[in-house]
Amino acid sequence: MNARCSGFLGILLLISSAVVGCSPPRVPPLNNLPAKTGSAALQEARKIEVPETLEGWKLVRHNGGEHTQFLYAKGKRSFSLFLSETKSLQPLKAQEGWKAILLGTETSAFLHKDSRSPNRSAIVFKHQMQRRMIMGKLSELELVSLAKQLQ
Amino acid sequence: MKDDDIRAILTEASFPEPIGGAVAARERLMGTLRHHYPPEKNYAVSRRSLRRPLGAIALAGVMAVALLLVWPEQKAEADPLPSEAQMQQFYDQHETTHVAHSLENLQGS
Repeated sequence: MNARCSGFLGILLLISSAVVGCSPPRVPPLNNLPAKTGSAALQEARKIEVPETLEGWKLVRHNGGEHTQFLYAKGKRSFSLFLSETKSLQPLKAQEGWKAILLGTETSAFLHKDSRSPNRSAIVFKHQMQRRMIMGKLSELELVSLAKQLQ
Repeated sequence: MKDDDIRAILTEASFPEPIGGAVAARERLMGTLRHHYPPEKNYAVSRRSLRRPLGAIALAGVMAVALLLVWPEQKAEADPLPSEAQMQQFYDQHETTHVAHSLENLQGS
């Protein structure tokens, strides 16, 4: 199901890139894959071994695709967890616009702030072959403590 | 025959005495021989057969070290972080999902 979906997506992207003549967008549009909510989202989380609750945050939504998205909510607030397969165990490369920090003793992570709305920020770190990103209207402290749980 | 004539001339011809006499000449010759083939060397096991692969092994070693130094250089490339444009897309996707979830909650309650 997932493989077929991504295959279909790949073909779509190829065609669109051939037509438009530019590189395909890395984040697939939301309407291509229906969002999963409730128990369907929890099922996906179990498959990928992502916790259903995290420090009081509850998993509420799942979006498949190249960058799998899980939405966690607590009251009116929410944050997204994006998982991207990287095919390597190499660490993340420091880049401009990112602030490097340490998670625990040796895992390095990078913080990012949305230039359009500074209260939105993200943290990116490597979990084995996966690049994990936590994003939302969260403080730096919250981001770091959540990242430590998911690392 | 002409060949026999030459042979006869050569055998009958006198040749000069070696300098220092026959014994000294023999000693000189043996000295040269000993210099090139020292008697303490063991000729049963040829050392040359070992020396030749040593060069090849050394060459292979140098090549291996060079490969080791060059090869991981390409693999050591770290994973790039998402670009700014990608991050904007991520922020947008998060916001859309957040709004979709809030709307669903409103309808539910």
